[in-house]
Amino acid sequence: MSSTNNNNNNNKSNINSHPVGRSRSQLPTPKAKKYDRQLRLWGDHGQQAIEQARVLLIGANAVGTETLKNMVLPGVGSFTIMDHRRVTEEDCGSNFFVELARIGEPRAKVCAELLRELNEDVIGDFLEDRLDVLLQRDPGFFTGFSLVIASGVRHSDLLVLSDLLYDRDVPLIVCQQHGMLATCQLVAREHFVWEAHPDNPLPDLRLENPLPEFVAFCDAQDLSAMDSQRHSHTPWLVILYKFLSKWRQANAGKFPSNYAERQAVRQLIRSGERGESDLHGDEENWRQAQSAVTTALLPSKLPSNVNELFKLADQFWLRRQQLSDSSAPSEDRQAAVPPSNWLLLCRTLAEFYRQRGCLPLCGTLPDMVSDSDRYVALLNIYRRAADADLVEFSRLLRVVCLDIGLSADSVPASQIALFCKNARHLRLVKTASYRELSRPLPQTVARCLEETAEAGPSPFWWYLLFHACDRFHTEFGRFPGDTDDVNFLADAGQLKLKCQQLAQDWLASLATTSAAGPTSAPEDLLHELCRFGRAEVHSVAAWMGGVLSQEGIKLITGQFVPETRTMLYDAVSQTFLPVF
Amino acid sequence: AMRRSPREVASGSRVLVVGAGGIGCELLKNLVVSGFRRISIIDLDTIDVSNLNRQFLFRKEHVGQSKALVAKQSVLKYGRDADITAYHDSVLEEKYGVDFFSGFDIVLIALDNRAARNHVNRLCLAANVPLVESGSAGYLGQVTVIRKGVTACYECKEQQKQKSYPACTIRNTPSEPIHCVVWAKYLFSQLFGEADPDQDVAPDTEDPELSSSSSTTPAVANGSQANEQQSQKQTTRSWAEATGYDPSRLLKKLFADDIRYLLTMSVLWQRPGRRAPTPLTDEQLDGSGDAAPQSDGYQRDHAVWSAAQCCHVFRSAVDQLRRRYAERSSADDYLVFDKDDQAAMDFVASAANLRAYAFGITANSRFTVKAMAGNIIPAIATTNAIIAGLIVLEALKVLDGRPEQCRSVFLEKKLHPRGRIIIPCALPQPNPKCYVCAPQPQVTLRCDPSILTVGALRDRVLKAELAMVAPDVEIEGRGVILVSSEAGETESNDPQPLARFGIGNHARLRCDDFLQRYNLLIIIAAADPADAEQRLPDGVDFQIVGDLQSVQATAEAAPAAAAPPPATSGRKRRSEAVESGPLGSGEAKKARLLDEADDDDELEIVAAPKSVDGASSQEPDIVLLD
Repeated sequence: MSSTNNNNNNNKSNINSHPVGRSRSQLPTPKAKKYDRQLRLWGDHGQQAIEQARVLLIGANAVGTETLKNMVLPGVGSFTIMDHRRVTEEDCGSNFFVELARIGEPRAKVCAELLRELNEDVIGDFLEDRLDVLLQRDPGFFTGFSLVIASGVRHSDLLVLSDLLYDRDVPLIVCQQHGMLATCQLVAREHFVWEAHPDNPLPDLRLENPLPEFVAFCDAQDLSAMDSQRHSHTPWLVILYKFLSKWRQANAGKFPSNYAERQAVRQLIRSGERGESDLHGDEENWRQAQSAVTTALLPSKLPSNVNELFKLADQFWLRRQQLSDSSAPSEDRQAAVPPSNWLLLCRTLAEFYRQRGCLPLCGTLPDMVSDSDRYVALLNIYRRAADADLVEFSRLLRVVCLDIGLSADSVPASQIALFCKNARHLRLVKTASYRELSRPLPQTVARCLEETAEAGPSPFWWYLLFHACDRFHTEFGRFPGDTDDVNFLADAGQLKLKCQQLAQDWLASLATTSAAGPTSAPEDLLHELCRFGRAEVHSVAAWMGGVLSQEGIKLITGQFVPETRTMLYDAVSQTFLPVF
Repeated sequence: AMRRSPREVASGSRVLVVGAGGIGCELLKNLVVSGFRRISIIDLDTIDVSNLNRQFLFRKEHVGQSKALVAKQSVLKYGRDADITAYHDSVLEEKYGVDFFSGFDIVLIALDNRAARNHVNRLCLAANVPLVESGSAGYLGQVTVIRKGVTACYECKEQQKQKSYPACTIRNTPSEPIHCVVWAKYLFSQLFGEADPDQDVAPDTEDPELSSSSSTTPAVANGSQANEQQSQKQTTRSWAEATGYDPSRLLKKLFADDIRYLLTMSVLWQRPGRRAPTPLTDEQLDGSGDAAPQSDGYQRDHAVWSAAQCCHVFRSAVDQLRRRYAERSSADDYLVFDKDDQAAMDFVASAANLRAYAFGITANSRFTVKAMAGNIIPAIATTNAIIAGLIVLEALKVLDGRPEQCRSVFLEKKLHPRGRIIIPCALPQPNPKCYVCAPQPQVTLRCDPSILTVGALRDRVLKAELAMVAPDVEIEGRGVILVSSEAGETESNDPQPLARFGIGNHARLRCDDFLQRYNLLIIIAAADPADAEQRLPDGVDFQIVGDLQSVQATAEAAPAAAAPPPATSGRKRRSEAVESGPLGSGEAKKARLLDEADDDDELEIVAAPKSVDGASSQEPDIVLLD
């Protein structure tokens, strides 16, 4: 029998319960050892988020199981596998986590048992229910998870499932595989990226409006009076500031606003470098100061990704205001829906920015040639300023909370600190609903057909054919090629028909259908799909499992930016490309 | 002919997997599920706790056991019907020679170190067995196919040098945290490990900077240098042994007395931009009892210890290590630094930071020092899964006789703006100058033959740099055996400089590694200390460079016919920029631009590789197909 352990009442928004930086209780040493190599990528707080995540896999086929395996190993909190099928011989040919000896047993049970063995710290569970049945009987079950992965789930079921999850802000990853090809798609109404981990972040130095303490420190440095050792170990930040001030004095106090002006500052710095005779041309720090003009002297402006968050918060508060102004009692109830921590933080950030004209300081310094004492002194100045910003931010946050009747400490301190530290790189990631995504706009379809008219196989054709396969299944109760009949040409013909109908459906509202390219799929693609008969090639599943688990971990940790486009993997040409 | 199904192809093939770690485990799984039945797997390593987050065939109870053997057992426990042979052994062993490799249809590399990769590369070339090479680091990875004479071999492009630091920087004038960490690791070996004369930690009185003011004078060195180092090494350890490894006296010697001694070499500290160290005070070194770092695991790992805390950790680490050292089974036995060993890592972290404090260098947390000391590369299950999937897909193409479909695939950390996380490239062509797979491999060795000893030629040039395992060296035309791989035959030559054998400029040395079936001609270019152009850089004893003349000759002779069919696409590509390499093989490169379903016209150079002489840096090894 299946076991249902999920506390279905736990339907809190996963955003509020996002564990990022919740409490920095440390990992016990054995875990720190076991997870050492991954902690270096996502940190202890990332690990905590993973350990608090609850993942649901629907479809214990090869891709699904491989994906889950890669989440069980790094220590996801718990998983549930849902699948009503029984283990077949074919499963053994594609899925490692089933056994020949257990053919006929529930697939979900066998996979869950074998996956559970991989990590004793992970709780694993399974359900034998049919998806369509459970969706009707107990929709609340699905919204109790932090992430749902649907592998090989039929289109009609996906529509119902994704509508449900989309409304409740549970991210969904959809994957389909046919032989050497596989598609994947993230469906998330709102996903917040706490730590984007940009490759080359610009330094956060506030040179436009320098910190008073920093100014005092720089003023106390007399470059001309320094001996050569001190001179060549002065941090570039100090040098840059001094020559920037010089330039500003000569230019009515303005901050360099373009390339030419930044180069002018650079020239000034060069003129201050000491001659070769004195120093063997060894002043690395001065060279650093010169190259830093391109990154440290950019005029500060609000990053568009952050501006988007401000708008999001504004909209929420505006709607809230409108609702509380109107007197309808039912709407009053809606108005009482509390904003998520994220919205509270974004609202506060907007307020901070309005008052201060800048985002909270991150409090870290880039690398620079320097003696330790001055580097540490500078670092402390920026750290103190960042701490002060954090204090001010927290004060504003309390006001925001109290203002709408929430307790002043609604957001945990570590979450606030993480938010402030990454303020410049915060990001909202969103996709359309699956319903929309799986029915591309007629213009998009027309464009894709046109573009691929000459080029032959393309990600779009495969995607279209995948959907046609689904329609084929609806009519015939099996996938094309999934038959003992050796002659699958009949299937190919039927599939071609389905594909044509589908393309026409997708183009339906477009007036000039004729403008689009051909709507009948290339023969070789049709045959290839029929030849696969939806068989799963294990290495392709392993590949896709690696990618999907990586995306899943991004979603769970709020670290790194997940891919939002529908992607197609073609293992023959080794390409992974967006479908549209 | 009827095309065989992938499963048929797989079941008829004999495959060797080298490495049973992160990629190896995934690979073994992929192979058995894909229908491979005759699999051999070899790995020298044993299982560590930190493997368990990704090497899914291993469990806690397997820690300490052989990776290869456990991997095999685990796979079979899943009820998989495969004939797996597991070797808990080093692939460098003599028994895994050409005959062994010839017994496979394909070899898959899932290794973590370069020496073994080089070795396997050579054996596959010698046995003419196709090879799929792969690697991963954090979110990054790569898979490529190597076939003798058709594609580049693993050593066709210059490999990124493993970072090394001049001995005098480590011993006398550290300026970065890593210098202190390297020093601390050396110190560990000097005290408890297999002492290596190249890893001395005591102040170096032969620092070139100390020699006369004339900067054209090279390091004073002669045949007796090795002997001198020998005696210095003896002093470091014997000094410690004589004091019974007393932590207090060690602290005082290393971080006060030795620093004071360094200060007496005043020339070192007059150099502009250099900062003289400060010996640690008795107060710092005598640290009172309450100086222990936080007992809490996280804090202990992540906080930066004060000097007093470092002393505390140092004392208790030395106590543990000296006990272990005393309990070793034989006098020849020694301790090996292991970053995952608590006491060894404590020792290195505390010693490195104490040295950093003395030299005014930023101290780091134990967590950070561990990453530096252990060359830790982050590793996760997801990347390995992707890479292992790619390996089997490429291997099947080779085995199915479709090698033209093979790709060199790069895995990126983030999706490319144009939407790809994997970047497929045409397989690179052989480098005609390659010192491994060229028809007559040769390199030029720049050195001072009056200084470089035969022993150094064997150990540092042939073994360490050129990855030979058991080299023989003969002076061409004279029948003189300089180095023999047979034990005891030529050992008396080891301390002698090359010049003692009449080896001077243009001398030709025939080097041969029978195990690798690898022959290499080394031509000596005597570095002239008097000529600034010809002089070796400070702290460098030799340089390996390609011979330009012979290189050009080879390049002209390179057959253009080996190139894959030319691009069929008529689209204009920005290819000019990459066609100016000195080989003048623009045609061949153009031919590499296979047609793909591409959506932009950009060609990118993933890496600008250097040939052995480092001169042809514009020569791209990889052309993106986009």
